Amino acid sequence: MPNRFWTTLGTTGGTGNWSDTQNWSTSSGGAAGASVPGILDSARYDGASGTGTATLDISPTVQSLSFAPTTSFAGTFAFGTNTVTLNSTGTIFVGSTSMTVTGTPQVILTETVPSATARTISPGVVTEANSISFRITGSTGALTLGTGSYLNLDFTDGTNPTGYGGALGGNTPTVYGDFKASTNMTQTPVGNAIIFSGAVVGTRNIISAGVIFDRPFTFNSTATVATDVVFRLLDALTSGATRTCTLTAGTLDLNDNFLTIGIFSSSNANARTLAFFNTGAIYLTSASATADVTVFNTSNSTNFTVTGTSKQVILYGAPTSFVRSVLTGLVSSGGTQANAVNVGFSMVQTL
Amino acid sequence: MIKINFTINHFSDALHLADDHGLTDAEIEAMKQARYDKWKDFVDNPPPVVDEPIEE
Repeated sequence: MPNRFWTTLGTTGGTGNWSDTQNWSTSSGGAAGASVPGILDSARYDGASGTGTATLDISPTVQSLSFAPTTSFAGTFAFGTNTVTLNSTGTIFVGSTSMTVTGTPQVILTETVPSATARTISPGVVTEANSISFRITGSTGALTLGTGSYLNLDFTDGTNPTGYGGALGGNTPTVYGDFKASTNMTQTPVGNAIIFSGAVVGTRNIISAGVIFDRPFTFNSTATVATDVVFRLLDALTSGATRTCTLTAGTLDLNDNFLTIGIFSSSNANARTLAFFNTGAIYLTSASATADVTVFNTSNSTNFTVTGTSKQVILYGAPTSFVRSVLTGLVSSGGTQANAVNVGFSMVQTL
Repeated sequence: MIKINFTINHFSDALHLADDHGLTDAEIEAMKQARYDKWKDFVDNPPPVVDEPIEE
């Protein structure tokens, strides 16, 4: 695929619109005047692209988009309300930790002819303010989310609950916004967590669409008032018996849904709220055949609040001769009657 | 999107359907049951865990 590099050698000096040929070159740091990147091209911004503002004045489709092909872009990429669509496979997006992002940033991954070829997104570890949303639709190839920062992750076609139909792989994505799975995707079992985080006050909605996300989850608000960041399940979230859900800080709102996972842990002094509402429940399935296991740990309940009427924590899982422990907070470490949970046992495998 | 909450045998979940989904009530009920059946099978018969190798 031909490359198109954003250049400073045109009349704009590197501050201008995507649709202007004065901003594009066929080589890094090369002369301006190349055609604007299209569906057969790879668009590239690098260290020779200056520190100006590249404005996305149209919604183009290109093969791939890289902000760090070899050296990193240090300017501003202004999305406005436009999007970039990527229609190739392989590593099709590379972010830069040196750049600034403005607008409503969204990159759409699709393919003109859907294939089963793998795709990788490598956004890099950037700030919440500079993170970009990705919508992945069509195709059935494996998808790797590189360790790094994401705003919204949407696997649907934007209208229907279906969309991406492949297997989501591992690494450790940090999601600062909403997460919306498609009903026809799968999650390859992986030991790395999806981290939901953020300092911007508000609600992050999580739809798992009936997909078994057999991996750990961490919820970690970094807001000044941590519980003002709400991680809200919009349907049941199911993971495996060997996985841990960690509530580090913030509000985890079950919103009347089931959270199924091996272990739930939230033992620290950060501000945390666990909201059950009326029918929400945590279903803990860890049952080690080789060692004792603490399946529910809020032993340090300082600044920990439980809300709702159900407050159900249900222990389930395969029979084992080893001990499953529930460690709730002692009064000396923040435990109160109001914040106590109801612990149930369902060792018989029916429900 | 339309959100439909449901509970089957205490299992609480929700369906999210397109505004113009065109599904019958029977089809929606079948989708709810399928969700529950999938969850129940997973917790009762968890597959052996073989994590994929991590490549960065």
